[in-house]
Amino acid sequence: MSTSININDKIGKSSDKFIREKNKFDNEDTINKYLDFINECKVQIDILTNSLSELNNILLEYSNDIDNSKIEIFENLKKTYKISLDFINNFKKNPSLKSALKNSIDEFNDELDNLKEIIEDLDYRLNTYPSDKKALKLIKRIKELSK
Amino acid sequence: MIFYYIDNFRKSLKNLIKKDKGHCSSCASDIASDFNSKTYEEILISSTIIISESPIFLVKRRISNSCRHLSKRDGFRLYMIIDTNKESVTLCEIYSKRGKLSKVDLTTNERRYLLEYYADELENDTLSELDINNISAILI
Repeated sequence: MSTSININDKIGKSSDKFIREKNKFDNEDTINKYLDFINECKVQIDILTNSLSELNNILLEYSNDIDNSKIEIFENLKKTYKISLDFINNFKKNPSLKSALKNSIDEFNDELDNLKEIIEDLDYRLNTYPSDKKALKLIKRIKELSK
Repeated sequence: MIFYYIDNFRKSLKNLIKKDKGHCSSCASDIASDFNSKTYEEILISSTIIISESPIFLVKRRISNSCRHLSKRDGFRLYMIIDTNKESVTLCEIYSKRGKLSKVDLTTNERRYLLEYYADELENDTLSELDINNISAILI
């Protein structure tokens, strides 16, 4: 009797182990898919960040003549940032994936933060330039002094 | 390429290191590592331009904090003025995104103040040269 219990126990344990291993592989597969997805998003955000830097510099060149179309671009970028932020916050809510994805989430957050700062700087530019005549006057003074 | 600093930078660096030592003691070496082997053009391209009248650029740069193992996101923000004609980089202000003395950003007036400070030092010929690999020396 006791032998059969031991065997059943062993079968049970073995079966549990198998299920655990299977789940582990399933989880790894899921995690890898998430990782691929996050890394792909990170690349996309990176591209977007670089494009924003470009846009920032273009705006600087033409900042005396900021027209509505540029402001529209900016508003759309704000939306893109909001969507990206929602996306990453959804990932954060999933505790089972949180530790496995921590590094990727940190990197992704870093990119988002970069994006946020560029948007803030663009916002500053659009709100203060060319109306920030004091800063412009100062930088012109520096230019003269530097000659 | 030549590095300079305005006295405002020295004060802000001293303040960070003295008043928030546990959080910001690596600040000087983190700046040096960030600039390691970079040209002034590379520094300009990889920073955010705040305002410019070519060849003068006021820029902001994100620097990681190795003391607390913080990424650029939670690290330091360094404001600089780059003169592409003179190939010079002048350090103007540093603050931390985390810790006792943390700031979100500089205000419009604070940014203007940096430009004014730089212009005055330029006019009075009081800009000091900086050894980027030995920034702490300016605190002695």
